[in-house]
Amino acid sequence: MAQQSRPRSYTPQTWAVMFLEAIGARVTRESYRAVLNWMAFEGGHWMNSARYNPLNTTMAAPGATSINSVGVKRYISWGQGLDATVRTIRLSYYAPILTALRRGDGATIGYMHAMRTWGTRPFDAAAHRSGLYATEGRIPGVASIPTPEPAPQGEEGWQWHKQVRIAGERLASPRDQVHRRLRALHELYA
Amino acid sequence: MADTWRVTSQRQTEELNPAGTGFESVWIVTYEVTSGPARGATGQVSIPAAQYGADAVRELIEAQVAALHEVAQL
Repeated sequence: MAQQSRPRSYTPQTWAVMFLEAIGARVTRESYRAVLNWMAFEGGHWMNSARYNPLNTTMAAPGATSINSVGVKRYISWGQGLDATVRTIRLSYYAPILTALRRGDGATIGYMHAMRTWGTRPFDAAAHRSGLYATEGRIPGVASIPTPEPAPQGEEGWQWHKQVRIAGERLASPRDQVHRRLRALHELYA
Repeated sequence: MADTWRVTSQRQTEELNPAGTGFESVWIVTYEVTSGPARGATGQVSIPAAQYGADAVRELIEAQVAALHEVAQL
């Protein structure tokens, strides 16, 4: 049965895993490390007031407010923030980043032109990092990743579950707990 | 039955383990469907490095390709 509880709190590590799954990316060492390094350079949610917005996207959403003149958003929930971030990275400007992460190969994203377009200054996506955005060590179990609540009704963006590779082996693989979780979310919010 | 797909690339990496608690060494093999209803589709399979081998990879890919062909005919 799908988990019914509302979110507790994400860590950078669990959010990185959920984000990668939401965009249909393989969660490899490289892609995981790349997203954590990206989050560290952006500092959203944990290091600024852009609540539920680890990558500091400016994507509009119902109830979201801007925290600065650039328009970085403070969202109202983890689900809304994740959805907005997924919608942003799916814009054509960011295709190189999305493609690299979906390949499970994010080592070069920090120096891509698309990353400058996002507004992140160049960074080493392959770097080892400790502390809040630690790229090494044990990852909290997938089972402990909170279920993001759905975006407010009427919002078009709550579509990220469709990124699951419907015809791919990941959906069929009994070893992939993350995708079972995403399917449960789909059932819960369909 | 003749293969309706071909391997286009493969690489070794580390992927999130089933428990989601860490990474395990895997091979990611990319393939392309070369004939049939899903011709042109591409896909990937990952297999733990300890189980890597032609037979194991073939089994995974064939299962995926069968699903791709079925979906293409919906």
